[in-house]
Amino acid sequence: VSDVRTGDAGASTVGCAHCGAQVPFGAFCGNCGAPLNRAGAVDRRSSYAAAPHEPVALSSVITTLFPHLPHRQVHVFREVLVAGVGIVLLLAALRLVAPATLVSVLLLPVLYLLYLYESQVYEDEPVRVLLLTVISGAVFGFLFFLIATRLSTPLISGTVQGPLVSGVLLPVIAQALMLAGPLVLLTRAKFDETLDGLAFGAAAALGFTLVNVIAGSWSFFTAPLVHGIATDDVLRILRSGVVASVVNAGTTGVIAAAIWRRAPGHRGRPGWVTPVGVAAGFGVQVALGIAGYYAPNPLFFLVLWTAAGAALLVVVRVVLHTALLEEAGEHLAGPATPCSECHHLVPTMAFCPNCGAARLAAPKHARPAGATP
Amino acid sequence: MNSPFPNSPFPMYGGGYSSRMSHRSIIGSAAGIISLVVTVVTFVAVRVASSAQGCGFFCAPASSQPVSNAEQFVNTKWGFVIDYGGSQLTINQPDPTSDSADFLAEDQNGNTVGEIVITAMQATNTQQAVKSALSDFSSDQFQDITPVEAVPGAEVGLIPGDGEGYAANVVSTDGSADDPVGIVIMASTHGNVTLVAEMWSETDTSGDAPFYLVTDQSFDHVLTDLRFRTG
Repeated sequence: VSDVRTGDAGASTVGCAHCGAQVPFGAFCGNCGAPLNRAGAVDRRSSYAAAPHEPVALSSVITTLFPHLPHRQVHVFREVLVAGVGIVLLLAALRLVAPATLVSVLLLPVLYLLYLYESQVYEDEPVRVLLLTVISGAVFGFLFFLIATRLSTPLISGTVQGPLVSGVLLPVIAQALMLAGPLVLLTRAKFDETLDGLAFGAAAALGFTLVNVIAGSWSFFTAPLVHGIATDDVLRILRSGVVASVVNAGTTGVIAAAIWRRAPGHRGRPGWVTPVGVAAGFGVQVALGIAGYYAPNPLFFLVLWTAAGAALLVVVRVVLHTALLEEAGEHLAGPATPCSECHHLVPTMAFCPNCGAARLAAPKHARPAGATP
Repeated sequence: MNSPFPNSPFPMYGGGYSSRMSHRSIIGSAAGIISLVVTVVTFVAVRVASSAQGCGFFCAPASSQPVSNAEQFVNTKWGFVIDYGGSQLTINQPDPTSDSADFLAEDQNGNTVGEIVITAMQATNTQQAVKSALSDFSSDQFQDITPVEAVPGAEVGLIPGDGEGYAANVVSTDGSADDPVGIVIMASTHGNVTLVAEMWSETDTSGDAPFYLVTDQSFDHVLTDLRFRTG
């Protein structure tokens, strides 16, 4: 019997009050992820399974939509995102509408491509995954642009078709198109984790939003380079770029994740998580579509989209957190490996015994052999 | 809190668990890709943009064609009468007892390319009425509204009044379809009634129509031939 700190289970073990397994002594049970020192907190709402230093109920773009990202990389992505928004504001204030729109709509997709590379979510099929997510999303984004142009005729007070078509039907069509590509990947046995569904859904939504906004804003691009009213431009550009990217990635990601966890052969349990995830994704799209039809001004519209995006991120985290706790499964202590989240040398288990991070939320290339239950 | 587990002896980059990208390469890649795409797309857009500059509102009047398939709308509540070409305009709000009349302009393919709404109210300051009417335009449909200039010689039903022209982009509720449009609002008062005419139309900058409105002729018939309540 040797020291568990070197990875061999046996010496410093303790019985987990929640799952009953003998696990290495630490802050968290390496088997079920529950805190070892707090009875009754098995759902660990104060410690999000993909980023244990944060609570589950938190609106954080990076740790929610980029769950595989190690703790040490999170702040870099967050700083790039904040700096990008600052550049958008600066360009819009200078009335450079086209460059500001482009930066706003490119920011999240570019970060997500870097994230896909960094976390290697696509495993050994980068071309297939990118084709069925980002590229298919982009193609469907342009298709939707054409559909919406046909189905929506503007009026001073709204549209000829009324709120049912403009506020309900079109958002539902858009959401279905954003999901189409990723759902093909559901048939691939190797992509059986809920976080795969989130990543594919978010990537497709970002490709969709990018092309849809560029196609829809083309007249801004072909107008004189410096034009427009700064205040209006800032509100519109932020809403249709960064905020819409977050909302669309959130709705598509949460629906895909919810479907993924209950697909045949996957480990999600029955319950409220999947229905709530699917309903939240479509519900937010329809609610914003109807609200947009009656929105009194661009500021209200931006605030509404931002609030919806913030609430949606919490729903995404609840779905992911629940899925990570469910999917961990039973796993014995393996050899000691560095945790990608806390960078401590810990026995390879479903959860890091030191920080509680789910191994399934680690970058795929960083998972030690046998880490996946 | 002291951890019972030692720190990893491996560096964060290059050994043991390693990130595939350093902080510097993440920042550099993001900045590089975004800068490249923004530069290329902006360059292409500027190159394909039309550089034609028309004469705007100060163009010579276009030769008007006679109205075809003439029809008439009579508002019984406020007593105004509108003659319009049924081939060019379709009435969208035909209730004669309401406060307004709404007409849609369509192109040859039946696509809506403009709209004119005439709204009646108790006599009021026409400048204020024009300013207030701008808020009628759905902010989700009409974005980037930029004042162009006051409409010189604005009149409704040959009654002098006030008017303002704007440039804007019309966007559908999902933010997809987007076209440059012109917006013109005019108001005139006769007796104890103020009529406010709100109109938008797709623009054609290669032409010489006022505010580049492609529907200027059909709107002009409505505005010129409109009659306030008599007596």
